[in-house]
Amino acid sequence: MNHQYIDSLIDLGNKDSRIIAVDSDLGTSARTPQFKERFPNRYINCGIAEQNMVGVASGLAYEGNVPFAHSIASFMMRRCYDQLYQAVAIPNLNVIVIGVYAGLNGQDGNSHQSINDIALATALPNFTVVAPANSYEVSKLISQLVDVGPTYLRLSREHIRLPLDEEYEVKLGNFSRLKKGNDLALLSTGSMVNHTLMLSDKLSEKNIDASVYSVHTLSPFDNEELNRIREDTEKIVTLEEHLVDSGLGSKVVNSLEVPTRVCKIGLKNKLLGSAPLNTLLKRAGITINENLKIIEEYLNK
Amino acid sequence: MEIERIIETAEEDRLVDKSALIRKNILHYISNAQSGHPGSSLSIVELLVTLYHKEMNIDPSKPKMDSRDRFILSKGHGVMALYCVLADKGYYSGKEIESFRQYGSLCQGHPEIGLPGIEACSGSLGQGLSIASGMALNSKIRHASYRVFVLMGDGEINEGQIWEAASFASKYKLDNLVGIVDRNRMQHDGFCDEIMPFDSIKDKFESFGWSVYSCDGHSYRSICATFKDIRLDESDKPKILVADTVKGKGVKAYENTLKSHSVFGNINEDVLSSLYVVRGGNND
Repeated sequence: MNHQYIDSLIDLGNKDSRIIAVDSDLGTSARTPQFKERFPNRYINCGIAEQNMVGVASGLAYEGNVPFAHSIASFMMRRCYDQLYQAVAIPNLNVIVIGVYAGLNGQDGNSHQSINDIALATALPNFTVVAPANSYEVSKLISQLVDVGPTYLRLSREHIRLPLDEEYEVKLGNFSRLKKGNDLALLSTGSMVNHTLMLSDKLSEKNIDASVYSVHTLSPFDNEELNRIREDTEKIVTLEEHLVDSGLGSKVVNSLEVPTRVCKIGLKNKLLGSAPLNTLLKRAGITINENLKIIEEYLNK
Repeated sequence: MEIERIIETAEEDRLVDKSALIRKNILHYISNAQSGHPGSSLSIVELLVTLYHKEMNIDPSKPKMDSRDRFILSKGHGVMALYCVLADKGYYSGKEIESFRQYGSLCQGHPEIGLPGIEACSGSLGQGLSIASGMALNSKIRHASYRVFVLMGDGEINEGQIWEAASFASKYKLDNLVGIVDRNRMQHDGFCDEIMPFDSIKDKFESFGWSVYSCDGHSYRSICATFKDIRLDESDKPKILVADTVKGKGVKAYENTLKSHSVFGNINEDVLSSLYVVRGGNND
């Protein structure tokens, strides 16, 4: 996904000369050197100084530029939170901050995990919060982020690909429905959308017919669509690679106008330490088999 | 040693009288709101009057003109001084300041954009130098020629982000960036030397690759002469001016006191009657 992200950013940079890429020495993670090569005068590396980077982005935005600031999700959201609040949120500036490698980061360990960034970002005033499921969604969303004010773009690891049979609508602020089903609705965001599609295939084999939605926009949240979904079914499952009590699941529970028992699948607030990613996902209970069991139990209650 | 007379006596007198008016207004509006930071505002009066009356390329009738010099009050709690100077200069009516710190006011407790003349939101310390650097950098990228001035507190420079910005400004050769430190030697809990000693501020900035200057922050002669030296500085370095000031300057009951940092309620008569006209800079 990161590869596609940079292609999309370069495309954008070609069309809009206000776009400036700002880095904090982790640019290679987001492949920003490619942007630098294409637009050497519109690329600024601030070194390992996230707080200053956000301030510089803010100054550039006050002057009418549209800066895209980059770091690993853990540092992008945590290291400079007050700067995002003071220098970007309060003045409501067009600054897009990108957190790459969001979610369980694997072998780097606890210091580099980012499983609370959606909670933090959605608690900032004026912030649009976006977690695209795949490179296709990134390419569709990126131009929609340019003049909406402060934005957090949550990107996951690269190897997630969505088998795409056809294009689908990706509109900022709305859910994207990837599959229509009558028995239950699976609402997922970012890296978990692929996993959710696989889950829905397994459910189909058991004659359970699930709708699958990619909730790429966590804020502003599509309350209308959520409650329309609730009219069709009272069985709603949320899936996210984020703390289960402060991200998508909690947003869904809080936004439903009718009391509903929602099945929330996500991460506990527990430090898991270093491990290969698949081990971490397993330890966190994010496996097809585990999640199938949870969903079936939920449906049978 | 006599500082070269950069400004005429009559002009200096005019600015001294203006400072007296600004100080009177600072006390009036803070007392009116029953809340504010008088000490931190009083120490920066001469600096702000010099910037807006002598140094910066500005036009109050065109607060957004592209070529204007920008000013950021990084020590945002000193905002009452800025509100009074901007009003006096004609950016808006002084009446706006009557609603200081009230619901919906353009004169928020710390600077926010929306009020003409305010370039950036501030309040959380340590951030303005980065924002100013971004604005200065923009002029390099877009081939503009404005300057950016940013005023910080000497307690504020405890914040690490200031030093991130200092490295950045030097690396990117932001020679159009002028940082000013209001060296009033006090911070919230006590004297800077007790809380977090920072001598010498000039040496520290110099080691980060800045051109360094100092002045008597309450003497127009000294401030104007130093700004002239800064203008003539042809290096590609950002500039820092360490201005020796006094917290609460111009109000005897407030000078060098911690209590002048923030007030709640009306300012009492004892304090108001200790207001005097500052003429001789720090020798006054």
